Amino acid sequence: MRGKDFFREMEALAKPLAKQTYESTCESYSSLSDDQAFRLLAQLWFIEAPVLGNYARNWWNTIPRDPTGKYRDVEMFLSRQLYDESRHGKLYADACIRKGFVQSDQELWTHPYAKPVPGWLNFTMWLEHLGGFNFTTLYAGEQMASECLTFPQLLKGAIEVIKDPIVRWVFEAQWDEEAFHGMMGRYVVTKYCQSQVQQDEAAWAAQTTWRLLGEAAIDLNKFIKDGDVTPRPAIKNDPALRKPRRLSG
Amino acid sequence: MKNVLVIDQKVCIDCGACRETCPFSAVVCASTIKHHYEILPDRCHWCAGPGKAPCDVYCPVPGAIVAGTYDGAS
Repeated sequence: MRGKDFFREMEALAKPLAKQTYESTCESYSSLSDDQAFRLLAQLWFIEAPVLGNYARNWWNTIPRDPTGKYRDVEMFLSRQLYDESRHGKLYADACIRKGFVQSDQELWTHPYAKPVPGWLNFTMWLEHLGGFNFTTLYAGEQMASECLTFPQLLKGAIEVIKDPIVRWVFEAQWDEEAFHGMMGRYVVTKYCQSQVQQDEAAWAAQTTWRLLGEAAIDLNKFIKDGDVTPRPAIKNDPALRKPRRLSG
Repeated sequence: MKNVLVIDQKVCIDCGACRETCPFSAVVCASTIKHHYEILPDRCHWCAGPGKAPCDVYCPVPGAIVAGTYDGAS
């Protein structure tokens, strides 16, 4: 299958999820109190500043070193994207400062609201984990599945329903760059994801992203709305937590 | 009326060095134009003015950070 056809297949697969993302965003963010807005900004700051701005540097490992500059386009895309993500982190932090939630962005590194809820943490760790694959898998899993096919719907919904101008501006200011990141994903998948093996792995990465995003959205919306996380199964009787055996000898 | 520092948007190259060096987190992303920065006048402490304030000391462009006044209303 050509890369272009593979992208179209993935696009068709993501349509219901994109619609669902838009609807749930409109429902969850339509009447945010200041405290809820702070939770939203702090959680989204976590994925932009520490994760994508700093830790996602391992994404460089996905691009093969080619002395002839064969993958120069992907390298330029990635450097541009990491700069953008770092700036988006600043946007979230600055909105928190403007609203008076924190006095400086250093406070966010230790603030409880900026500690990721379980599903959200799981998704962000997955993004870092994608740095261990070929760049076609990374771009299918992150830029295509997330930033091209689903995340624009979250931004669109947030811009439409959030009433506070300071909070809404954060999403408006990211629109062009996120659209560009989505186009990067489309470009890389269309151009480089040509073999069956690459497409199989790329489809797996895209579907894993959508599954984890769905779980993350449940945890995130609950945390924003109620201030607590989705209950997890009790692990009190888990065998792993029993008193460890003493080593003999 | 108090003295504050202001970014001259015609001169500024939007590098963001002032945002990272301000000890009072007074420099933030501008809410009007993408990729620009602005100094929140109510958070600005003047820091001994142009040439001595960290935002101006670390600014790579001469004349990007200038003196201004703030009356607390605007």
